Amino acid sequence: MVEVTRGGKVVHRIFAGYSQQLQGSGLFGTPTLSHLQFAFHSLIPGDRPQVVIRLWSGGKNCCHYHWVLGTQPSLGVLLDTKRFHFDDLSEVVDLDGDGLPELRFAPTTFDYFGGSYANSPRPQAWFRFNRATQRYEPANDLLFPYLKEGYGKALQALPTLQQHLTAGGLYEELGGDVTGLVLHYLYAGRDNEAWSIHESRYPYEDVAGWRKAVELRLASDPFYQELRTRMKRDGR
Amino acid sequence: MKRTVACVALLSAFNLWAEEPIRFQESLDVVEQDGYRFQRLARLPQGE
Repeated sequence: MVEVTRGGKVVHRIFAGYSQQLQGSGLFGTPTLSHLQFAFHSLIPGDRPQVVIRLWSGGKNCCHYHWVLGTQPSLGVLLDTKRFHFDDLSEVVDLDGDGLPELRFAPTTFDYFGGSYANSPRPQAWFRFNRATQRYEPANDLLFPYLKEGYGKALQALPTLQQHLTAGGLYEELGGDVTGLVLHYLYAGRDNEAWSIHESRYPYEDVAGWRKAVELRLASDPFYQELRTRMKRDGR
Repeated sequence: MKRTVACVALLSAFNLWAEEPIRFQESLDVVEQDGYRFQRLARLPQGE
């Protein structure tokens, strides 16, 4: 765990063990203190650098927890990813140009989904800093205007199964790419576009069954569920 | 020079300003800032 003290008094604690829910997945090892790292990084312009804490869960192909804490005007937890299922921090980039970088993590919810780890669909979990709440919050839908061009290019570049095989690709490789793209739209709340892509580009025969499997898996993803709850709550 | 300017303009147009990567330090047990002390502990303090 990480203990935060000031003037000799404990003001905050971060428990760095893994959750029972994650432990039950069988993919997690045992996090130890040697896997815990600190960094100082300026995420909020004008503020002192934030304290970023990263913990590797241990285990095969898995996972990292991140915490971002600010120290001005007082201690604040800007981000806590422990309840989500994420691999490492993938990107720190100011997508919307407001001077506050967004953070992208890689959810592991679809690891081994329909095949090997290498061919797993890999959705994106975007967080944007909300000045009103002083927290990083799930924001794939709010950032979609800045992401859609890239998603569109990826869609255009998707080969058909025949093109993929002719180019030397393996039969089982393409499904993960297609579903990964479908997930980008689903995580942004663009359900109609997502399922349209699935219907038209999913390269195998079990189109309806695969959709049900995706929906079932989404129901177990805490990031996706929180994002959709926020979208519904805020009417966005 | 022209190539650099063009590249910057392109990145700027798409707001694709990649930030500095966060550089984690492996061996620190304690970090401090603004009077706050962040310390990694092996276990919960006794009695908790």
